[in-house]
Amino acid sequence: MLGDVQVLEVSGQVSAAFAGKLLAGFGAEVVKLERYPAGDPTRDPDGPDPALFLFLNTGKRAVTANLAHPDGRELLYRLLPCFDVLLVDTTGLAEEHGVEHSPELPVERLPEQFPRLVVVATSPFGATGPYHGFAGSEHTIFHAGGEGYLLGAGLLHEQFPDRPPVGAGGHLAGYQTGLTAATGALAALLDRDHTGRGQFVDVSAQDAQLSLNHLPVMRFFDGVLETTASRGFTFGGVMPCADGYVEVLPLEEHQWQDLVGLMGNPQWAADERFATGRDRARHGREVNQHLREWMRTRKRDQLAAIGQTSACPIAPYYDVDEAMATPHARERGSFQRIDHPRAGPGSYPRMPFRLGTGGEPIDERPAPGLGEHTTEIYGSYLGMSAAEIDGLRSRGAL
Amino acid sequence: MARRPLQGVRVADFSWYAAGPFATLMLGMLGAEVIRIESRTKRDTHRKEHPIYGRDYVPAFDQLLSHRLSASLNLRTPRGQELARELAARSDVVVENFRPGVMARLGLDYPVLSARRSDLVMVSLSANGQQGPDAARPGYAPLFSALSGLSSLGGYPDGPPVEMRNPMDHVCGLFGTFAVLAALRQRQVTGRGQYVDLANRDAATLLAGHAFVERTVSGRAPERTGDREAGAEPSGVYRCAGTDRWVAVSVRTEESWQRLCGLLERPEWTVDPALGTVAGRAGRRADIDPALSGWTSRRGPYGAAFALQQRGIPAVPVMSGEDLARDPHLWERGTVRMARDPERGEHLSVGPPWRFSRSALPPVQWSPSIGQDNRYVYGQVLGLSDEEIDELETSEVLH
Repeated sequence: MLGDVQVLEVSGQVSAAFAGKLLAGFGAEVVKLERYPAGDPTRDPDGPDPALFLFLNTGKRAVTANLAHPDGRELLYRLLPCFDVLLVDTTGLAEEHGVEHSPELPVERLPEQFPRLVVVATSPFGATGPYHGFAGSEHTIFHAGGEGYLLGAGLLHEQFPDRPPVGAGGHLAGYQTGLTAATGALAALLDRDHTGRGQFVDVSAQDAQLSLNHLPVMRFFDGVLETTASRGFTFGGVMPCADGYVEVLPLEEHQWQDLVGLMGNPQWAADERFATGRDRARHGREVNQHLREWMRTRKRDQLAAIGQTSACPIAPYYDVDEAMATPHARERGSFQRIDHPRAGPGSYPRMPFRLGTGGEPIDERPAPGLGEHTTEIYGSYLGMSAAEIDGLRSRGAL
Repeated sequence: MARRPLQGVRVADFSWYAAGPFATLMLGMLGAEVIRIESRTKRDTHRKEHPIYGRDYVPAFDQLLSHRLSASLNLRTPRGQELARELAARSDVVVENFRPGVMARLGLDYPVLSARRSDLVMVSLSANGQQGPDAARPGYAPLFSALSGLSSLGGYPDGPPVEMRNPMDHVCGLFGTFAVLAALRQRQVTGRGQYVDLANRDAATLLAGHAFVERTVSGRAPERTGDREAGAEPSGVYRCAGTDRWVAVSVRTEESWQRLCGLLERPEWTVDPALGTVAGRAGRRADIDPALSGWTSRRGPYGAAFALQQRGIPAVPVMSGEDLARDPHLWERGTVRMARDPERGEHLSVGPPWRFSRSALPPVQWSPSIGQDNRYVYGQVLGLSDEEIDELETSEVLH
């Protein structure tokens, strides 16, 4: 869908790289610019690239340039007119190239010099405001967005009432920031189609989390401070079964009735204290005791099969192996096998979209090696000869 | 006045619950005209009490339903379905997240709608996608996240998986927004529309993507990190003064470590070469973590976080709804702001997640009551007369 869009990416963390991956997934030409010899900090300079790098950089091409070197910056300035979007994460700029906030590279002001350029910069707390410039990491940004305070609710809180709040694991905050950045880039491109002009788009990772997590703010204004103790569903939720965990969540009346039928219409369910959703919410602890008792003796696969056809929402908790192996994932083509020339074959989640009714999944290319396309791209975009490129390399500008 | 990024784009919004409405909320915040089609005969969860979630009232202001118009329409009536087709034909975008098959049953699926308007962009969000063995599964965020593998990454290694809640619906909605914008951009170039089938479960899987690659490339199974961050030490959520008050800290670099030693007044650690690496410090967690939590427990979460940030160490208060609602940084950026309505009063709201240097974004808009914009939608957009609209309201087609 984005076949005519050219994106240059300078990233050292997860967010801008994930934005680039998503744009590439829809067909944009994404060129990753890295500093030689270490490259993107998510690479491993001594071995095959780690899974995080392999995942984040599918579908991209890669060049090197040293932005701390004046000739390297000049190269960037020569490249920019060829691109529609510049994606940067400012932490990456600082850690990889050492040029964050450098007068030689005023990222926010690049659209003044390149009027058609859309610059999207991600940073932990944004380009303005009292916390501008504060340090961030996956873990701290997640907890700055409100969901960290609440995630360990329900059964987790019952089991560990005194433990600290948990994170979501992995890189959820970085991915969410990247998706926000990719969306902002497209909005600015659509605007450019009308105005002919690009602009600077400031994406704060904290804002991106809070945007997705506005409910605790709404509830607070309504007089309710949500905590891990109070946030759990009044009944339903995560439940242990004979060999794992399932989620059971009958929010609507017909779903509850369906569940009661599945359990064989037990006598307790006919008690008038459980007659309506409001009644069950009031006696949630008791409802859950009954539900857990029933779930505990059943196998997860059996409950998973029930959930496939029942009106009552029941689903098994799967680990990554199980999630990959489901008939649903296989039939839908949710994963693609990609053979990386150095790291070897792996199973990669695909873009979650199918285009057209009954559409086919979108294939992606393996992550590029460091500087793999330097000669090709400087040649085709800038018309540079091999000798010129060698000259830059010998001066330390690549 | 500066232009809004999606100025001139009209969205027919058939969405409900959480994921779909978030997709259209973002489109509205970017300046599109979003027309929510909803019915009093089958109310959305936002339009009624939600005792199981612990909400025994209908919110006066609903962030998720803000930034749009509301047209009431009973899609169970043939006339209602025809009006919906008319509205789609006069819109650039259709967004829906009914169960797969419902739009086709109503005569509102893409083949029908695109026959009337070939450049229509339509995005369907569903828990498991439009086709496949699990397509009929009902899906709220905790369920499709459980199936996706994502929930297995969070939580403590010795406890249950994490239950992903509304924010997971919302991020799937944001994937929907992204797809709408990509399809609009394609339409700009080709003049053609696009249908996009978005599976929330696959979006959740993508948000755990590195773990699948790690598992299949290196064979390593992901480890649950609890309250910690992999690759940082010390790293965790540390108790502060007060009830349920915490600060999240993450020491990734040696420079940060040296500064932390200064803060904790442990000069002997700065010269201990074994502590110069993350792995070395991990081996001495039993010494380091108590020292850090001893220091944080004598401070409030903001005091602790600011002291660490002054030394360049990533640290934040683990922010509650109250912290977010009062935070000066978020107010200054407009991420937290006040919605005001002359009749309905005021309510806190959350702003869009982008700051554009040139484009304007709409001011905060109150969430509409059901059918509040019927005159505009059926009169101006569809061209019906006042009498026709009255008649449709009386016969409960617009209901």
